[in-house]
Amino acid sequence: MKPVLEARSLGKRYPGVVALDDVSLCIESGRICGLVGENGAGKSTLIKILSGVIQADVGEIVVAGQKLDLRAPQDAVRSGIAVVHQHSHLIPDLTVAENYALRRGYARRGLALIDWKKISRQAAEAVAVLVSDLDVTLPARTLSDVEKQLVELGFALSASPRVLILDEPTAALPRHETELLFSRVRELAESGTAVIFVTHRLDEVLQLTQEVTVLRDGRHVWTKQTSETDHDAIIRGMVGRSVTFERDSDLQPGEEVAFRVEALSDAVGAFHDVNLEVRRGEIYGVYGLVGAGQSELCHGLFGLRETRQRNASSDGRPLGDGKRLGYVPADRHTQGVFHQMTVGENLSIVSLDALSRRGALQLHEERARIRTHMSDLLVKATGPGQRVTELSGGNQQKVLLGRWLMTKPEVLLLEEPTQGVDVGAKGQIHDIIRDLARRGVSVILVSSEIPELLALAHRIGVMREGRLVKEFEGATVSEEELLRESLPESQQSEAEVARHRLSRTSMVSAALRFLARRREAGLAFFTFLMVAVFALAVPNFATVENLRDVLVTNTILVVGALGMTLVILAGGIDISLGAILGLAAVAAGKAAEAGASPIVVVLAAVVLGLALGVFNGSLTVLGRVHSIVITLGTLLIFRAAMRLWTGGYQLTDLPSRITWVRELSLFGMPVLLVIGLAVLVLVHVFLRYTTVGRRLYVLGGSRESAEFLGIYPRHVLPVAFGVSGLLAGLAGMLWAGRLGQVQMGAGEGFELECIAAAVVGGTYIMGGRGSAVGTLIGALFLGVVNNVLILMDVSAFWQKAVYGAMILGALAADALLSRVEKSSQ
Amino acid sequence: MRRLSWRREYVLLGVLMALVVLMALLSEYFFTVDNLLNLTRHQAEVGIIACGMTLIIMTGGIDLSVGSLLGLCGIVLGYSWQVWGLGAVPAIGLTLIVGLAGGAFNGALVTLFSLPALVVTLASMALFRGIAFIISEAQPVSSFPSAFCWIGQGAVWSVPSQLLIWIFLTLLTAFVTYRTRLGRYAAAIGDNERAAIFAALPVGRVKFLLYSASGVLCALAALILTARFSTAKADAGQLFELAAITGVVLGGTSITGGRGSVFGTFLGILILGVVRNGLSLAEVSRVWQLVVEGGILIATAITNQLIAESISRAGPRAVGNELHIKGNDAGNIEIGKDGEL
Repeated sequence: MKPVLEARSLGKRYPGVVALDDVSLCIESGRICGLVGENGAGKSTLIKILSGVIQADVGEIVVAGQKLDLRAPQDAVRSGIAVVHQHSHLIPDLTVAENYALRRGYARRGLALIDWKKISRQAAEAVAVLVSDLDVTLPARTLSDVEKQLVELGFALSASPRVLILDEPTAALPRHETELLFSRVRELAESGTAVIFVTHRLDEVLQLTQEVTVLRDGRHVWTKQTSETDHDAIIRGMVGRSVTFERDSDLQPGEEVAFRVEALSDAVGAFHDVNLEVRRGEIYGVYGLVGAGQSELCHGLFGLRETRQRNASSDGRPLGDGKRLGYVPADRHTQGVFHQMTVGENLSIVSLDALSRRGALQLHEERARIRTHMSDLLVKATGPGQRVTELSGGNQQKVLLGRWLMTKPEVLLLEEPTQGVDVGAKGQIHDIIRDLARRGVSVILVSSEIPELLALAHRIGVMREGRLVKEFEGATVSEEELLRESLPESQQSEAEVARHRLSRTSMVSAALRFLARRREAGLAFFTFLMVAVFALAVPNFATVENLRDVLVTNTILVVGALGMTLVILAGGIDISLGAILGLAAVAAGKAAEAGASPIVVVLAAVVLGLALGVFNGSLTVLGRVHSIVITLGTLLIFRAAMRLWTGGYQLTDLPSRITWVRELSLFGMPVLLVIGLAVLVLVHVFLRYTTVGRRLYVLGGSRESAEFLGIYPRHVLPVAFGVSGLLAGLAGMLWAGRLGQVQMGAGEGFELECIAAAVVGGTYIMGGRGSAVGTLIGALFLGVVNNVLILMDVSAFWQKAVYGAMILGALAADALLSRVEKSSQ
Repeated sequence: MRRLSWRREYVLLGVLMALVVLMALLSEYFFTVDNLLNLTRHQAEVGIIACGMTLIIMTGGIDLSVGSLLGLCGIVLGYSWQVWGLGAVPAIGLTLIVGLAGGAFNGALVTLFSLPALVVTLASMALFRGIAFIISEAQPVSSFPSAFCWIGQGAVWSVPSQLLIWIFLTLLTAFVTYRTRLGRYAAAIGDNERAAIFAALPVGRVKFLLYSASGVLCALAALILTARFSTAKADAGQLFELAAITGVVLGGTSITGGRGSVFGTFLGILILGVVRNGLSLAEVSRVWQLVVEGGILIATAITNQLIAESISRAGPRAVGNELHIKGNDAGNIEIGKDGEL
């Protein structure tokens, strides 16, 4: 049979490490191929290359006889390669249905508008392959981890891809779902799909696949028919690394127990019932596959994560009865080094208490200590003043070790201390660890490299699915024993299943999910209630005239606030909106004075607004600076331009070419109201039914996932700012027309009102969540409050304070709501 | 990096000198002792506020409420002293307390709810200004005793008193930044907040303290501004946040946090003053000065960012790649999204 997918001599090299070396793979149509290997064997790298996330340095990929150039994830999708990554890439604030559409394209109907009903139907069909009765109109963030995984799998299976790549798909799945997944995968294979199945569960490999490929240290070890191999043969293939380290058998730990935890669990079940006892001068190794809970355990021991013990709970401080703890985390780049700081500053940062006398740092003493540690640890640097990022990975790691050694710790937690470090530095770090033990420090060494543990640790505990399942003597245990103990079984215990049980049952979480989804409804109800109360309590409020006045007065705010909503949704903010309004009002006024036709008057304001908005958006993209800084600057410039244009004199007695705004009626309604409604409908349609509008949500929701889907700020932000500016321009024209004049202060503080309306209306200030209707209700809410303040003769000075307080109130409510939502899951 | 930031301060000094020469050519009145000292009088209030702003921006935060808090503090001073008849010392004490409370309010919201500083201070900017207007109903308070007005109008050997206060506070801030734990922690938090949490640094406490300190500096600036005009107005200090941020960014502190330069901020504020003063002496209208200031803010923020990116391109990126090899997916420590701003 002809191969569907062929990878020829793929290679990928990172500084200091070869991740993939001359690996070839060949899969025929309809075959299921298992891919196994230890942590760091190169599986992830291979999958990332095949799915277009990263590019290989050498080698080629051939699909169905055609050579492929995979530059981005979309290229792989287009060639019929579907990948389910180990971790969900669903965008949390979008519905399940929309996440489907983002992968497979939006279904359209007339006028190229998005057909939500059809998308929901398609998504429901795709999901139903694995989950029954899941409401696809729920935002993805309300799903449990199991549901997220099933949804991603359903999306991939329903695409009937040429090649299906599953990366640890069963890691989170209960047994029943696993069985279901397997039968679907078999069906798919029968219809001709080639499947690559990556897993640590060897019995699943033996059960599902027809052939097995083993990788080790970035190299291809062997490929065999599944029927010709067995459990033990596969494990033998996975271990047996080329590099081994020598063991120092003279090193004996003391008798005294230095560190002890009993039945330690964390709040979310990342690890449970861990019993640990480490003696003085002992090196206690912890081995486990990635994600078995060893990282979380470190965080718990160090007080970074809430934990419970048999008869005590943590209060955010390191465990271990006040012993001095140090912790070198696994991810040097994001959790360890301070990139802009020097080697010296990175070394001393946790010892500054000891280096201070009466509040002042003792720089001479600091420098002396830094130099001692640099020479003790053989840190290769030009001196303490060198920038830490100029050092090699190994030397940076030594700096992080030294950081905690300076505090003279009694217990040291080391997580993957030699990850991404070259062989020479690795040996030096091992020597340092041995030396520490010799001096009586207790070391808890978490590593995914078995040879390292065998060379260093006195005892080795194996973690599997959040539990410390077995303890071995470091001197006598074999590589195979450790690996075998760490591999998960496909049959999960009852407790495991309970932990993953679908969480859709609780009443509270149901109510919260409803609130999170239908915030507009809640706010509308609240506004209505308020109106009812005011109608009874405040005279003159509930008259037709007054209520109509509230609507008309706030139309301009609604238009501006809708513009602001677009920008905030996309993850930006536009402080210059009020200045754009002012400038556009002048443009419209000047045009009217010059005798232009009403249409030209409108165009003048709208086009100017659009141009200024695009200017803001483009500067934000080009400068890669947050939009608040950019628009603070352009705010000044636009305001100044307004004064220069008018010479500082306000425009008064504007002609009817523009004042029709306040005089004209359409369909028995003031024309202002008609315009406001039209804008509302248009923005609603734009946000809800066009792909351009949906991109704002994707970008604002998660920049990282947006990039994964090929949506970049440079495509989205100029549009968001542009439309927002256009609406501010329109608001400016309406302003000038309604008042018949343009004062120099026109629009001052307008941006704040717009932000308040949007935020009160449920737009999440960091982007990704919100709607046109919500903003409308928010603006009306503000309008009613304002109106009542006026009716009750409260001075106008209250207005600004009330707006400020309402923004803060809405933010705090949002923060609390999302906290409750999170804790109820 | 320290070498680099020092070099930047020399560049700023050079720019300042060049501007002085340029302005002196534009207006013969510019290069007189009186005018130069007068110029510092006008910049001192912003300069004092910028001291706190430097450290806040170093942590990766921002404080947009400073101008409004200054206005509020001025009104509290004027009303408690002249209208409510509290007496000088209690009035000044109350002003400082209000400044502290305003700053602490921002700090608490930023740290307790992990809300973005940008939005919190944008909202409290409206809130503080609103309260100032509610208290005063837009009526200014004037005629403060001349002994008090000395801090805004007086001089020691013809050096303006507020210049002395400004220099003192700049030196104090420099001490805090370079010679205390607080300064190191602030830089560390702005550099890599996640790493700061993993190193068990007191992240929340540092932020809370800095926003509170910024509030006190606003109160001090309010005292000086009120003394300078012998008048307290609710709209005092408008656009001060902008001038302070511009000065800080111009001085070389990265708007995304990390390194900061206190002396750079001092020079940055002076440069803004020279530009403003020189332009008005050359009879360029105030409006054009706004354009120049807005332009300076945008241009320096963008160039800083581009320079920082080109420097770090060689370092962290290369290191970052290595880490993907073993696909470390652990670290689920929660960090507020505000770190990005």
